[in-house]
Amino acid sequence: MKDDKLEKEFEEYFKGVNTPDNITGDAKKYVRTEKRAMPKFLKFASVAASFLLVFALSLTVILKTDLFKKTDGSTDSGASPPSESIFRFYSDSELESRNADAYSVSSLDKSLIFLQNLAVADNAQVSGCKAGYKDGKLFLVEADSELRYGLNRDRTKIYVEFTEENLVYSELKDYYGGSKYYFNGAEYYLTEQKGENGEPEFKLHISYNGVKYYFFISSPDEEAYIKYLYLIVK
Amino acid sequence: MQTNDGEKLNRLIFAVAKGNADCLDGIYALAGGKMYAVAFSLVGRDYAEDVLHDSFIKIARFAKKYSWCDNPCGWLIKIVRNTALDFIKAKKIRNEVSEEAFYSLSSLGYSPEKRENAIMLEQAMSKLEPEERKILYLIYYLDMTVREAASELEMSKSAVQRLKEKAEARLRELLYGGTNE
Repeated sequence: MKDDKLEKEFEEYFKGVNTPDNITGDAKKYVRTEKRAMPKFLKFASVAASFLLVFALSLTVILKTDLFKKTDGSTDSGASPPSESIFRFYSDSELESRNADAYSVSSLDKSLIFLQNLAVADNAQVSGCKAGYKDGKLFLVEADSELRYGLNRDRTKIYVEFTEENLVYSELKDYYGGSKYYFNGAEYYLTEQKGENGEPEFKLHISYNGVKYYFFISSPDEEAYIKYLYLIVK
Repeated sequence: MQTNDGEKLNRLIFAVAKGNADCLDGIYALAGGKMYAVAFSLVGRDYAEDVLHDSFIKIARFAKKYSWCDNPCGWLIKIVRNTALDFIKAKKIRNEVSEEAFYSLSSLGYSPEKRENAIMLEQAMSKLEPEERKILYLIYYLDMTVREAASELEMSKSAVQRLKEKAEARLRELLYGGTNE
């Protein structure tokens, strides 16, 4: 924590410096060149989008005629959120919430070791770690993490769920609505969106060894979710 | 960096990320003095301008990866510092900048209305012990946290915290005659 008055003194000191001219010229050229490069990319993107549209329409027709059988491919986009008929949901009010110590959270279940490792890492912080129980059985663990690497910072809300496959915490319904992919043979769902500040946000859900993991990641890194897959899938 | 300036800097960096090149001038107007001071303190007068130039190209490149934070100036300073360190390696220049560079900005050319206060601050800084100057440099120039400064100085966090408090008290005493009013 800096001394406010001294900080102001230094800021005034820095503001008085006569700075050299023509410092930003090349940087401005760089930004303008990047901006001009966009339309070419957009042109390509629009062609790609047309192909995707045709593909999606064809897929819809095939699905409607029941000819499509799902296989272990690399992606399966357009999965729907779970419906009431397949999934059963439980809410916050059904859980007994207890604070959990992130530094020893793997004592609740060994699958939480990744969260404990995050808590002790030099470049990460874990806070708000809580465990939810129903009838004495561990249902859900949640925590917030902040991870710094290089100039990037991920802010991530983490949920780990220990219920049977079709019993899902109601707040996590949306995590099943993204595109389906496979990582080292494990199926995961990913939704990508932009946050209010334009930063990429990801909703990632993966089931692994009978445990369900959910991550809401806000990060300037457009591939931030990959490191969370590595944390879970060994 | 005061809060208002901090928010402006955040907005300017985001505008650069969205392709508004002219906002780089806004960043330079708000934080250029401090960035120049840091470059000057690390590579000396001859190379400070080149480091500043290269730093702005990096800011233009990395703006898209920037996320809103409480200390945008710290982000800018980190870029300047890393650029300066790369420069030292690449040009094989020896870091012969004396500690006086930490508090001799008025020799660079200075706005007349701020000169009197600047000279007072520089005189006060010159009366501090070298380690006191160093810790104030790390915290107030380079925007390091106590933890980062401890790592840089290879000291414990508590020792750095004590040194920082002592240096701040000494500087306040020299500037305001023993009060913080």
